[in-house]
Amino acid sequence: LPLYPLRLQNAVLKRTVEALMERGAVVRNLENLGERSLPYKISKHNERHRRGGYFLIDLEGPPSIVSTMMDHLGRDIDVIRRGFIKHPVSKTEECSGIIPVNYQDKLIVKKK
Amino acid sequence: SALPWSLCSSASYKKTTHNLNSLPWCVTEQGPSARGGHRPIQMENPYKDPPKKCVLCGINVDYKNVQLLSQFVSPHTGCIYGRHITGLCNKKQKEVTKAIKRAHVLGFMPVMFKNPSFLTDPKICNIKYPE
Repeated sequence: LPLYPLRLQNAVLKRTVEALMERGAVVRNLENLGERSLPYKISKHNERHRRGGYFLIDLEGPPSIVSTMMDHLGRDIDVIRRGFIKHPVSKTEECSGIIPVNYQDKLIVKKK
Repeated sequence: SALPWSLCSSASYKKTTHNLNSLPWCVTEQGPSARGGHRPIQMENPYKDPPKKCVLCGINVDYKNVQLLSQFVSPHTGCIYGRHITGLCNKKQKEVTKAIKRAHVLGFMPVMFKNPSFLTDPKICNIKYPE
């Protein structure tokens, strides 16, 4: 989101959340990851952007939403980059460490 | 004249088999002997070291924390270091690569170089730069 005034940012967020609710998604959480300068200049909608605000919307909904929402956000001139990501399932508790692999056994072809 | 060994019966020349257990200098192979020693029990090595852990073992890798991901990226070209340089296990290397690619696409992390504010981070990868 390239717009500096807070009111306009709020308006954009309100629009997107309403569109999501229309399609039957349940919004769980909305996080503001801050406004920072973009890692590289992004040109979108005939404009070269250098700064932007990052927002993360936590939602639950049917998978058919994804394509329609990407379309909707693509047409919004205030949105620079959009993306949908699945909720990461962290499995770090099972990390047992590096198990030494016996390369010699792998090299010798096992006869069936 | 009759020789002393010819007159005797052949049975008496059979070797007398001694009972091994009775002889004091023979070591028995069955169970606890009089000295009180046991046979060694088969078990796993109790002094074995726990399996080595890589740097990220137990740490959750996220595409949002760019600082952590930037530690596995070259400062000059921005290319991701291989397994032989980072020293991570299979799972974590894959996770880090996927997270870096995702951060590139979504506009969190620069692609062609390393974020200058992260250049003074501690070195994790064992890479030698030419002087």
